[in-house]
Amino acid sequence: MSEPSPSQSDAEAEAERLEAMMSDYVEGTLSLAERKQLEARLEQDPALREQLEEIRAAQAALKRLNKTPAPEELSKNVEEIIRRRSDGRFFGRRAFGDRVPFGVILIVALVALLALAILLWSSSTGSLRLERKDAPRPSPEARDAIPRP
Amino acid sequence: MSTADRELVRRLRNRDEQAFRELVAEHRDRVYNLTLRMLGNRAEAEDVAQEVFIQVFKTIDTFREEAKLSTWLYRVAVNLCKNRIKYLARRHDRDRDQLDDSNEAAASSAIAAPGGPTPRPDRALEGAQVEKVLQEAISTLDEEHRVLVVLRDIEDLSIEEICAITNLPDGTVKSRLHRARLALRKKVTKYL
Repeated sequence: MSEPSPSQSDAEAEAERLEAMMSDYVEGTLSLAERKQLEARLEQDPALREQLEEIRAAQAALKRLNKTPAPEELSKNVEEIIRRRSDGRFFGRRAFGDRVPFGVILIVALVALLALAILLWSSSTGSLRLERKDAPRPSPEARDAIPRP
Repeated sequence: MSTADRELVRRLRNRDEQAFRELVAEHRDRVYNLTLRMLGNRAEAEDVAQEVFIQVFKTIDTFREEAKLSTWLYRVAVNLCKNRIKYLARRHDRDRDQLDDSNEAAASSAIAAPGGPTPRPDRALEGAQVEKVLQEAISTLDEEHRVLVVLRDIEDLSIEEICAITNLPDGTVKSRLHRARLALRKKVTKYL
């Protein structure tokens, strides 16, 4: 397909500008200078005048359309659909998992696991109870001092 | 965005059920009217209107608060309508009679309604017929023209709001609106 020549695109741009002006004219939003310019053109151009009449007639016809209120059950239906699709969890305060991104939760969980692993690795008892090296060991006599059953 | 809208959005983001009800109550009629005029079929319009609110509630976290909440709501509605139009076109669904039937039924029941002032039958039928002719004409406009006519001439939104909803520049909206009105007028001339 051949590209439009400059004069063609100029003509299209001019047509669009005129159409936009006509829209503004029927809406009553043209500046005074532009309005006078368009009205002068309308006086000269019967086809343009006819277009204006057509536009006004279309607008008047559309104004005759009634506003149709939404069906009564629309709100209830929307709520039911939301509950059904979300398995009843949609409304109410969002869960922790909804508010905090999964990646953050994963990183925190990994760091916590790593810390726990280091703690267990460094413990000679293999439990979370740390053995203090400087703690006094009970003497053999002390063991004898404990009453035996 | 207004302070009231900002507060409503905050509550919606906290999944506040009451906030959701307020949103639906405030916008349901306009959203439904828009979907009805875009699609020309009550069942489709109701279905899409429901989807609009569901989508808004689902994606409220992505709302950037640069536009008004109602503008965003309309944008969602217009996009869903366009998708539905494409879907219906693919299905070759030409059944747009439901609205006409219900309009005629509504007109007949208005004539027969006891208690109120009795309208002249010719006038009441004329109203229903006008509605039918106009709706059919709107439904046959091309998608971009239909959006503009519905938003400006039926929903009475400002050109600025329409630009925000459609992401089109001001001049394009006005020029297309002009063509859309002319196309519509051409379709209804012999009836109205």
